[in-house]
Amino acid sequence: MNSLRRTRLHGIGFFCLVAALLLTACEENLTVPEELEMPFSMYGVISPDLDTQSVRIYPVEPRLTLGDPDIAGEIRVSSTNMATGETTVWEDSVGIEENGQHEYIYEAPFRAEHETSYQILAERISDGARSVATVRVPAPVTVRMASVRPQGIDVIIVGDSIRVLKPIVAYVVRLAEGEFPVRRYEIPYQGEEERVPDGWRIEIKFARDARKVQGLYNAEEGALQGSNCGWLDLREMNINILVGNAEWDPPDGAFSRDILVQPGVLHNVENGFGFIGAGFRAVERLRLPREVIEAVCFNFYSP
Amino acid sequence: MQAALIRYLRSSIIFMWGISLFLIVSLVVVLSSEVSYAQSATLGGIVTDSADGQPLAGATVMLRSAASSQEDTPIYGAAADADGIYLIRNVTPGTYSLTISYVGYETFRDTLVLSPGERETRSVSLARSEEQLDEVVVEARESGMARVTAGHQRITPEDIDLVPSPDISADLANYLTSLPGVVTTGDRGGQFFVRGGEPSQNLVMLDGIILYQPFHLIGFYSAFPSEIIDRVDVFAGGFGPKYAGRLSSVIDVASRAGNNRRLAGLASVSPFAGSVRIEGPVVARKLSFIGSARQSFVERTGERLYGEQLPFYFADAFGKLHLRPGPRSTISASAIHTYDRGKLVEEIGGAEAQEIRYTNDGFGLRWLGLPRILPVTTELVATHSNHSMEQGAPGETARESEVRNTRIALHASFVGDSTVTVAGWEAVFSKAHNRLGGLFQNVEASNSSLHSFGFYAEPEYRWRALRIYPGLRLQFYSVRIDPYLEPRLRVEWDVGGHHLTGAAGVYNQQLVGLNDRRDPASVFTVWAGIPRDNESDDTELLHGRLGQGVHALVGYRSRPRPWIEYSVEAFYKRLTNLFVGEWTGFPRLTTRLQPATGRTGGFEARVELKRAGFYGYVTYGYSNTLYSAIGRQIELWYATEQLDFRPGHDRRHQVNALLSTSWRGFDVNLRWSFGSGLPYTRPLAFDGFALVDDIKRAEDLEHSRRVIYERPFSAVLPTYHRLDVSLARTMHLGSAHVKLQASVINAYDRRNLFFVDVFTLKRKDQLPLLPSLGIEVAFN
Repeated sequence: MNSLRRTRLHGIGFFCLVAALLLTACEENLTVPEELEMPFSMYGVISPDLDTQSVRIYPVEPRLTLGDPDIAGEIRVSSTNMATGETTVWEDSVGIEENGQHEYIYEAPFRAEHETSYQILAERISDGARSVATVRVPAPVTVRMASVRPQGIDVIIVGDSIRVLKPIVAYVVRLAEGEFPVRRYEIPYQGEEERVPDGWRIEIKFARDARKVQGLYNAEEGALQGSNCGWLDLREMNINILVGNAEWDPPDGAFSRDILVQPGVLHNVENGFGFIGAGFRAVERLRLPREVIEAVCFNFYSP
Repeated sequence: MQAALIRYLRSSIIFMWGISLFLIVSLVVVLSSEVSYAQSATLGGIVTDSADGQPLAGATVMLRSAASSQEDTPIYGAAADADGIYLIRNVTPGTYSLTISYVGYETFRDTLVLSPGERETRSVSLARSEEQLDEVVVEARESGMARVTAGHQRITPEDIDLVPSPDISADLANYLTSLPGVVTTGDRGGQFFVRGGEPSQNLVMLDGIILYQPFHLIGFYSAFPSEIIDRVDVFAGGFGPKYAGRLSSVIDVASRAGNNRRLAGLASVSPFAGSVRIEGPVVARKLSFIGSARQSFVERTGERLYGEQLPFYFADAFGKLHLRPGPRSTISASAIHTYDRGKLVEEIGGAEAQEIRYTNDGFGLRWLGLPRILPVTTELVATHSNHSMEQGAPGETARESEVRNTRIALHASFVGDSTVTVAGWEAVFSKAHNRLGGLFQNVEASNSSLHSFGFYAEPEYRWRALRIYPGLRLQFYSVRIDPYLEPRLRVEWDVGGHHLTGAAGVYNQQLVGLNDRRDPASVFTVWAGIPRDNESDDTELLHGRLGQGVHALVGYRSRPRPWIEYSVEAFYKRLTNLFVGEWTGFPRLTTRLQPATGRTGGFEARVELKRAGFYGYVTYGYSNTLYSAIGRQIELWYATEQLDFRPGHDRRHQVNALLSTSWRGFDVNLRWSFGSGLPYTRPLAFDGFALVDDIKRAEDLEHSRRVIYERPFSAVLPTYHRLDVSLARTMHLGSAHVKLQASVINAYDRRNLFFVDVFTLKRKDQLPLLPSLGIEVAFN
């Protein structure tokens, strides 16, 4: 046997040995995860502000599909007023989005009541699997000003089990002299709300806002601003807040879809995914003393 | 606008300052050495093969005193570089006998009289020896699987031809998949991960042309068929300062010149693809051309021959003109075009299946020479390339990405008595454009201008058997004013047949290639720049900070007998300031970036046997890659400050074995490959998400479909292994030859998993048992 042949045989032998050894522990199949038993994801808001309540339902599916119009008939959605025990079955409506995706919306024509809990139930008719959310609509809130200074106005929203969200301070202004339009400017205060013992507190940075509003008006209407104060009337100032139930509490008070998309973040559906909020919008007019208004160079307006 | 203008002006000033500095330093170095050695002579030239004009890399050039009785007369020697260029400096004037030799070729002998200050040129064409010493030639080859030097491996067409493939035309991609440090997601997709790095972190060049996606959708093919290749330098890590702009690896392909003596050609066909190549002289011995084109057939033949739809199509074309205007220089012009189209993901619901389409176009000029005025070898490269990628239903484009660049580089090798210092500069002007849309996709558009300028030097120091190459690159990136210093180090120590090597370096990358790594079948890559200082979003943590890699590796190689060689190499890479696509439950690609760090470590072992008529190797690679993602949402979602996970390309174990021999006149090649399972993220279910952010009716809530995942990359796919076999016979008919090849891919029909479709939860397997027949006809 010459050396070449010997080398060749050794090579083939080694090749086969390595292959045989490594073939032993080779699983071809994929481990399949257990199927999630949660039937639905639900999203919506129960509110006294709306004359029709509605929820968006997504079946939790084993694969991504564009949906089927028949699915809506397979789901029964109802609400129960926990105070009266009254149950309402909601009507389904199926829509088709531009990309062909079916959407399942359920609605019921009633206005939610303050200080009332509602149980929203989505049930799969075929096997009775259910997802449930229970929410309580907060009581109306009172808004008061704790301190009023040109630099900052402390506004307290008094209420139990509430979460104040998306506060906006609106300024309605007009040039003190001449025929110029009334303009409304909204300054967002999202993320600046702070929990206090009797509710929530928002500090309105009045002087900063005044400079901003005057600048915006000036930019829109031309170079009207002189060096003097009082060229712009502050005709109205109000605060607009979303008053939600205590569970309506996104991280940092911000509604970032990229953060909230993860299941488990902002979640109150039992045996399912999603979130149903309860709340209302509150708007309160803020009446400030003349000296505070004039201290930030607004003209005190008296109709 | 004003800020951008100021930034541009400041960049330009720094660029001009840098160029000026480099030129001044270069001139000082060159002129000072010239003053010192003004009385000595210089000999240089190009060594080529007389049969076809190809350079003979590694040819030995010796100068010996003609007066042999003078024993103390110095002997000068040099080896031709990869382009066949050699240069000997500081030769004492006198009469010399010159010999130029190369294994398997007739030795060239001449007598030279060198005068003080003379710059003599001897460009020589060596004739092939009548007496072919096959065994000697095989053992003398400087390439091979085990021939790894501090992460660097040179690959030749002969190496590539040994790996069985379904096509008779061999391809670089098929060889790269046999390297122990290269991980692919399967036999389709065209994604290569080198030692833990991402595909977008690989710098791939052809004749200096930067290519962004040069691998075809069918994993056996790239833009580089072996018949156009002269050599490939693969740096799996620790690459020197000549290269920059990527964090992971370099694949530097040099094409060969066309035959400048006579017309030659080749045509081949198989059920997978067909190819043609033609080359020849335009002006004999002066100007040659080579052209190559390929097209796949598998889209049409797949279902008929194999009972399975293989919806992939590719085509590529390459052309090169090579001019030798004189004995001291060569000029070449290369052009390349590739096109791919294929479907990797099945349709969702009733929607039409998504198609991926991409092209690469490139053009480059390369001048190589020995300037008469300077004792250096120089390479000047000017290239332009464009890469575009689209995804959407056939005939529609839902998302698109495009990146183009113009590159100008000058490399110079300063030859010393026994060392070579390389230095140079490089300017790359890149632009990227993206537009995203499609099913479940938010529409996003972005444009980026990403320029970089760099200067480098890498001297060589020798101390006995130790060679040290400390390198430094001064790199300017347009994303930030401050220059980046990128130190590099390579060390080689040869002692008694033992070869110890090491390398280390710092690397930066400003161009980010984003893939949807939740989906291993995703090829669509968005090329974009890192966020700038003045942008404000969630990634402010990394604004203006480039992705950075630090490499360290150490290796040992030995060749105890001429026919056996083995090597081991351990490596570590630390990656910081990485931008990975933000993890999201939305079933779509996102360009929102998430900060991450990563590290990868491992080792590779290779044993190679080479004899005349027999060749084989076995390689084993172990790799361990871990990424850590940080960000506000990570804390919210997983109750931890950072999320550690194995990325989808973290293949822990990989084995490749190749055996090539001849049997009864047939060339027999077998290749067996094994890989442990890749991590993946298991989708649990699908539902939808709506943003409950105000008092609204449900239909007015912003909404989208959603994927509910397990913890990222917490599941592992099954192991992968496959045996490929090819049997070929070549018949010579005068100056032509006909080659017939029969091959079987996946010979024992292993059901290897390619990916799990995250949208349908269906498994998609790699290619089943695929027999193939091919024929090649060539003449020369």
